[in-house]
Amino acid sequence: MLSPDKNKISTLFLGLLVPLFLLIAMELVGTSEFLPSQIIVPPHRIFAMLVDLLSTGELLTHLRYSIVRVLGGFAIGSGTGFVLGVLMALFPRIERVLAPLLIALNQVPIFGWVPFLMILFGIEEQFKIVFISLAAFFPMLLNTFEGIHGVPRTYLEVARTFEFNHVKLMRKVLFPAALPSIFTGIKLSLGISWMSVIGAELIASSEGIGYLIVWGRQLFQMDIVYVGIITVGTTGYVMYKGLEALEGSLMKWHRKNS
Amino acid sequence: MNVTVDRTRIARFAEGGFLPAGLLLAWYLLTKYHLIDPHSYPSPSDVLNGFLAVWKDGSFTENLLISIVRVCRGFLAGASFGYLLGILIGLSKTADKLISPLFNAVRQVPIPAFAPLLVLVSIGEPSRVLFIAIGACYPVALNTVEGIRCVKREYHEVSEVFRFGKLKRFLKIVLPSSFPSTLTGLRIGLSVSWLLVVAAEIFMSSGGGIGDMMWGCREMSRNDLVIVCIVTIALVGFTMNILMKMLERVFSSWRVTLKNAR
Repeated sequence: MLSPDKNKISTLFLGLLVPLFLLIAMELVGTSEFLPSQIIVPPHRIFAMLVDLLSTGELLTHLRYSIVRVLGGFAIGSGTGFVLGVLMALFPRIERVLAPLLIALNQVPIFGWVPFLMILFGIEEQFKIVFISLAAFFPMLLNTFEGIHGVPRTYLEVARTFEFNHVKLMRKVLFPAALPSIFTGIKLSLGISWMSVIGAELIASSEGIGYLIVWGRQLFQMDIVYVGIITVGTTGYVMYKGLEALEGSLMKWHRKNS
Repeated sequence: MNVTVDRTRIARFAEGGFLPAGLLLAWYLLTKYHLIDPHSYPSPSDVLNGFLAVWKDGSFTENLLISIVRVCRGFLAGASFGYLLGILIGLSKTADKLISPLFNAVRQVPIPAFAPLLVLVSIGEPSRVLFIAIGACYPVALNTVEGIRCVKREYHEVSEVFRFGKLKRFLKIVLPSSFPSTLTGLRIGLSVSWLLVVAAEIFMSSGGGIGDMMWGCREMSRNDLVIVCIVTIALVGFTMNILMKMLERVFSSWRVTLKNAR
């Protein structure tokens, strides 16, 4: 009974050891002015900046801009990807017509679209939303398609024997069986959206976490840059964990209901 | 028999080509009859002429080569670091406990966010290469760990029967049987690197390269050349992916024959 707990504590301790060591090293190097303090910032200054930006509400304002953007782009892109993925998996003709074009478009790395989208949509909000949607679109499309396409044939035969109609087939057979793959799509898609929103804000923006990072760099205030990076990482992690929790409870709910 | 197969194949090809052909035709007609602003929307022949011009003056090949060399550097640096890290974490539980939490924490940060930091650390080529290397390192490390952890128990048993030493076990059992998984990591890493080389050339511009060229063309409103660059970037990425998949197939068939020989 005792040993697993002890194990956990030692794992936690070992895991904290390296980051702790790095923090202390940063603090020592940063305060000793051995290296230019523009690069190695002592952690206490980063922490002070974090508290400062939090208390003035600046950090949360920028974060809110980024989150609104990512949610908008993600909703549009992954929604379209989901619908197209379902349609392409269910109707081979749609797949045959759309697949070659989509495969070709998917070859362009997402940042390759930036100049083109700027030509079409300018550099304002519209550009960012379209850019994020495009980033969110492909992983969702591919995973939804694979998920539904990969449903074992025997399931479909069982459904046919029970004479399920389309809606019932979708709800009782295809959707539950494809759920893990769809969730992989959602997680990938949100991760890429988050990366893209930061990228878009680095390029052209006057608010948002990506902008905060650029702004800090322009002022040579590395503590702001670090606070931005930490915020971006943490927010992405929280979103990912949130989705994982949602996935877990949805799976459980499905198991209970079927 | 053969004829029907061919016919369905042709029909399929036609179905798939229908939409791209339609879009191309629409693009051609819209630009030909000046239904859209010709300045922002170049015609297909503008794009072709633009390509021929940059091809002839050599700037196209030059920038493409810069990007390819850059992606190779970043990928090789990141992948080899990731491979070593993956081996270390995969083999040693202590290393896993020590490094993994930090590794996973850093991994949460989307790579573009590092760009402003890297610019301050070093201006110029090293920061771009480092930017790419960070992205290439994660998938290689993760897949190597995965591959090492999934080495079959039977293999370890065999090595025990033959009294392999630690080094021999590592070289003859662990490395070869985890390699296909590493290769998957390498393929993902290379495509991430190609994505990041374009990003790096936009975020940290003025070092040449196809992304830099694209960015410059946008600023000069040479939209025909922007399209040339996009198509080139897509084709290079596609080719890289195909090559890596071929490599993967070679090694996975090698794994299957190992399995069958057993």
